[in-house]
Amino acid sequence: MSTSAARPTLKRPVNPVRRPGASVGMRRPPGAASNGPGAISRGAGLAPGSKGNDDGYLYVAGVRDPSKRVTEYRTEQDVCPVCQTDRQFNKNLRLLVSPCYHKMCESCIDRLFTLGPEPCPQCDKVLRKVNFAHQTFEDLKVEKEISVRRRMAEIFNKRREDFESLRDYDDYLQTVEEYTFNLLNDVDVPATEAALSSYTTDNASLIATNQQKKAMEALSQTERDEVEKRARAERIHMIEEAERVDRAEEIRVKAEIVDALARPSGGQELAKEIADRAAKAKAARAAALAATVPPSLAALYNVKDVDETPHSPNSPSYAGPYVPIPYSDPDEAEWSHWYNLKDNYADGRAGVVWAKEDREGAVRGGGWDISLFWEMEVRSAVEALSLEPLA
Amino acid sequence: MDLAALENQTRAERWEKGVKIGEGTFANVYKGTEKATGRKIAIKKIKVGEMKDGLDMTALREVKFLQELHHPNIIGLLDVFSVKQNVNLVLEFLDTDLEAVIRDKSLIFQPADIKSWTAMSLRGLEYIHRNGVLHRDLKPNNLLIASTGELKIADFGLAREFGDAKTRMTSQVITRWYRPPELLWGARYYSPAVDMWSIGTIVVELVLRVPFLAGDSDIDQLKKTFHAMGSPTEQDWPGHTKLPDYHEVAGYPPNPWWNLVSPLGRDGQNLCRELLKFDPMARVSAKAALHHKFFTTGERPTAPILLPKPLAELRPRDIAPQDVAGMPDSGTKRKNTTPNGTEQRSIARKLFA
Repeated sequence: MSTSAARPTLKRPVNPVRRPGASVGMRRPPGAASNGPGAISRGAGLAPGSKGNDDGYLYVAGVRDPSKRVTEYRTEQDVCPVCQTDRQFNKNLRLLVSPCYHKMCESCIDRLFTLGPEPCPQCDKVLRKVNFAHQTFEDLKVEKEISVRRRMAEIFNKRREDFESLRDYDDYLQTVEEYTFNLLNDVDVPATEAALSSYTTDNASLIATNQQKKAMEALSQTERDEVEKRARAERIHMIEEAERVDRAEEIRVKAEIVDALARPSGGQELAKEIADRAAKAKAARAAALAATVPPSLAALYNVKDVDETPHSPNSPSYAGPYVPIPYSDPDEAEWSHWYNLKDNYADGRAGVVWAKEDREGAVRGGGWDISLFWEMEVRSAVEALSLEPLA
Repeated sequence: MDLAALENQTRAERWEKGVKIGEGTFANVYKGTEKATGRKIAIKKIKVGEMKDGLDMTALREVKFLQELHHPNIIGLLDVFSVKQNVNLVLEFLDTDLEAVIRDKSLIFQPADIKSWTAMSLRGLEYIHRNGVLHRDLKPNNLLIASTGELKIADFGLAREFGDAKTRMTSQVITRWYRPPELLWGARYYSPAVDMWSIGTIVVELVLRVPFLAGDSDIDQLKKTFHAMGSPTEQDWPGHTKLPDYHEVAGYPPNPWWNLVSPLGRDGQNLCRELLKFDPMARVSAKAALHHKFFTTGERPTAPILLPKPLAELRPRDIAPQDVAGMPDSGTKRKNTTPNGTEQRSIARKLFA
């Protein structure tokens, strides 16, 4: 720790990220299953979908997607806190969660909220029917944290490159974390909400840009190229269309000017006026075009404040005190220029012929590559020539 | 006394053997010093006399490759000598390994630290591959960390040279969690790309701090891999259906798994994707990986001496004599196929046993 404390600059730690699909909080100790308030018949079978496993743990039941991930959490012990109905009484009992994180069953929700917004029976917050959602996690705190964090991530999507210095970025992250904490723990909620909404209105355009960037990054490189290509085609089309209009207009204006000059009197002034008007209209069209043509998406990636000075793993390049690690880059070795590798060699050895043909497809899939082998052979033939003779 | 014996004796006298710090199936490891300089070393004593079928294969491989490979990022074999029936290897003494660093939750990694470790392991690996050797057992456990913070690749017990066409190699190599899909499907002709996959999973593990693809059987390993990254198609991996042990593990949708390593930035994500390509032909080589943009832009890699390290008390301790006495090895040959979970073994034992 002492080494990291002595760092010259404050850097963002790499947060341990949870693997997808890792079941966190999805386990219960054995026995917990039959201790619930609604357990009438002790141990009378597990909920459908739940199964014990080897280490004696009971996996919580729930609706699972094809990859076995729980998408909706439910147990045998579910009881509606409003009408006290349990799963023994109503097999299809489904508890939903309100925005204030109170559970109630579907029939209670229908009963209470069909006629419009009503206060929550448990905390008096006014709720609407559409705002109830199903529960994914056993712990409602997790549920709440996820929805709050999702909401925050939507709004606070600034990136490192949107800030002048790392310090500013860290301060920003700190503020976001404070807001999140406030919302999670119901501290100062009205003030926080006000801050959020003022932030959202102040930064609307930046938020939209960053959302677009994020959408682009979610695409794979090929998809991204595809989008970029389409945008480019679109741009080219718009520009060509504008040029066509320009040319037609020019021809028309020229004809008008000729007509005007052909008049017996005042032709000069009229021609000048027409030319001026045409020039103005052209400028206006160009401005309109510049405003409507979508900018290149690549321009979004103009990242500023990135250390572009070349440094490589082969050269002294380390932060902090200069500590070079010796590395003999084969590209810089003398002998590397003593041969040029060809794509193919007339190599008649049985093994090589066999590998080149690869009739059974035994080589391709495993990645064995004959050129690797040639490269090594050719290289080893010349490499030693650079060695000093032994004294 | 003949000349060879005399030579052997002078060699043996250069080194002072100290306390035992680890014991394995075919070797004991002792701490030691170089008499002339007082430099710390490790002596690995291979039990030849007690073995029925002569020198252990893994020991032989280790000596064979370490004698030829000399690189700052590869563990140094300083000397070999024999005492009575035993072969003694004199190795550099290294404090800890990358696994201990990853598991120590009190350490915080910066992206620059990960960059530094990645660069050092790729450098060592590039050298190994350049010399026509496959390591075939890369895992955090085998990436040792010197007291200077430098990372060194160790354990050449499964290494072999990749050479001639038409020599079948075994697919039962590399610890399962770090094993690429072509080996899981039993490829018998493979390339240095298998080591690159291991490096890729190690880089992701450095970010996640838990093994990225931790399957509990070979089949489960494939499922976990494809669950995380989507099932391969003939398009992104031509010829994979022709592999000897191919069985279909289809139906997993593609997944932007590289978001897991977002702390490394876009270049880091890109490098991880290059390292973890399904098609071994398309997977990046060690040399190309070293020239990847990840290492040349953004934050510079941390100097080795500044890299996070476990505290002193986590470094290998001397094993008390009574512990050593009551520690018969379970008899399972040191085989890398069963990954050891969180079980805390002595570092030195992990290194050399």
